[in-house]
Amino acid sequence: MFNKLFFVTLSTFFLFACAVNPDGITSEEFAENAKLEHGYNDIRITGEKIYPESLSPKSRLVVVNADLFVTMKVAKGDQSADQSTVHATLRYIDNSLYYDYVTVGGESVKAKNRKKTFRQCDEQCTITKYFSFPVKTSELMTARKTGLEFSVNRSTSSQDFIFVIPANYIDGLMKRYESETKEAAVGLSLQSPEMLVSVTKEVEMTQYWFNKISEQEQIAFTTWAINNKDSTKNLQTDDKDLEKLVYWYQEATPAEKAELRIWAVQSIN
Amino acid sequence: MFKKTLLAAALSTAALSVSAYEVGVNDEYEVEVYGVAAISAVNYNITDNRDADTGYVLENESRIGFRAGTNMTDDIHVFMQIESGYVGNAGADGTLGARDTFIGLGGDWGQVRFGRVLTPLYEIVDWPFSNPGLGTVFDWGGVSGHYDRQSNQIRYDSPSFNGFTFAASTGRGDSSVKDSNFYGASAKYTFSTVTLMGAVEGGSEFKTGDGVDDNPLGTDNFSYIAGFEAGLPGGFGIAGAYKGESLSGTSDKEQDSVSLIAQYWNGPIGVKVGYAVNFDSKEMGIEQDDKDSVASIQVMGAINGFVPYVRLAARMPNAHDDKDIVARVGMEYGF
Repeated sequence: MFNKLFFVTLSTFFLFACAVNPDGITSEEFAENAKLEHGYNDIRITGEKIYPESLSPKSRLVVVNADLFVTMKVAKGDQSADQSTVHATLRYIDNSLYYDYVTVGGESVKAKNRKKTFRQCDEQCTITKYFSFPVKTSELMTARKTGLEFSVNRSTSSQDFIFVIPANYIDGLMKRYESETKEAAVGLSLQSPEMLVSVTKEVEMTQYWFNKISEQEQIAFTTWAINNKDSTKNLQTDDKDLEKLVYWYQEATPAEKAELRIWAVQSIN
Repeated sequence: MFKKTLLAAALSTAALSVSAYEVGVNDEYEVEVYGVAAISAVNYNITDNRDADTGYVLENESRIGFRAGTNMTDDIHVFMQIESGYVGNAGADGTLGARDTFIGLGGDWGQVRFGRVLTPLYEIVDWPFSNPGLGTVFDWGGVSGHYDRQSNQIRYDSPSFNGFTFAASTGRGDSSVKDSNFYGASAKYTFSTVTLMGAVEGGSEFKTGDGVDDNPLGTDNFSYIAGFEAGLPGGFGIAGAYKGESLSGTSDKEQDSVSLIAQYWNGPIGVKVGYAVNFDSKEMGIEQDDKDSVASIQVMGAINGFVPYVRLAARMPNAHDDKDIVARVGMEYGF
């Protein structure tokens, strides 16, 4: 009887303990476990639930538990700017303060509550906050090598709980996306990133200058291209190679640009 | 056996549902199983004071609950909760519905709950002012003129208005006694890392006939509390409150109390010290010699969802120099 009860209790714990520690998990493993969905206008890649790294200052902000997962959204073709979402849960020891804002990439937004905030008391009272917030897909892309830092705050001007979504996790989502789009491209008899786009002069020159610039510049260009699909904003740069890249990219047709953006994302490794 | 098998199946199914919901982004409906595994070993008199040590006990405060919610309209979210009591050692107190159990409506305008919830005053008494281990004095010790977790209650909680929140509730005391009603309200105001808080609660025909805190018919109650909690630089924090409780009418008692708490956190490890005192009460206007107090120190951690802690407390019932030293070691895990 005791064993059965013990098993029931243990099973329950295991079922709930579904977030994973990202340390030691490769981006390829994250890519493998990510779920990919095709929407009408976008592709959505949802990663598994992880424990983010906590950089909260050693103060009275006591994180009992925190986990999150990311849904990365990449628009198909010339759609409006891509916007991904971070779904997070934060349980902290009640200190009579409310943390309703999230700052990511220098921008502060009010967190959207996914469920009712839950207060639970035993020896310690804890607050469990279930929330989500938007992140530009380009922001994620930029963070695939470094990880993405965000903070959960009392106000738009304070910085309280600080977390990092690790680079290997974000890289895994990107790789899952790349693998999908690569497979789709292979289906069209295109064999490699270098040959993903049918060759016109504009495409050829864009690819040529893209391969000449540094990785940081490649990320900057790709971020700009994704955020600026209607080509209304110029990319400010003094770098001649980057200028030439932008010139040839802007000469391409909208369909070529869309393919070039996918190619550029895949080419950053 | 049948019940346990059924419970196992229900738990597994619900848990799987939770996982499925958590991983997806479907906000249409959610049902959750949640709970706390909490157990501690305690000896209430480790120095064998008065030759009255009865040895240690394991106190199992684990419990389980269910939550569900969905939107009725864009502006109204309907939610419910059923929570069991502490499972204890024989399960007798673990009945579903023993703790916060309600149906509620919520939105940008706040939330209103109907059922069994904490009263606004008691919520503040309980936290932060009865921890660590101060409840024996500040919560249920001395003259009690407030309810705690009470059924037959309607409670409203406001949203935050630039750091200001309030709550108000009303309900039945003893539903079998005419005019046994209560009213309560609390308010909190937060600026920077400081929160000021206060609450009042009053009623008539207080706790008549519940067999535990019997008061004679015709007893009214009134309680108030005023306190603060402040986060200080370097991981320090302080809190303090003054509380007054009184019974009037057929029974006539009053008593004031103070709770003081300081804490220090270095990352996930914290130390908390507390002191609470119930001053000499008055009965029919005559001062009684019944002051009691407790002082305690607690070391605790917050590690991957687990909260282990060790606590030593000196309880001084009826003042004087008679001290019971209480030692407790425990761990909690909320899921």
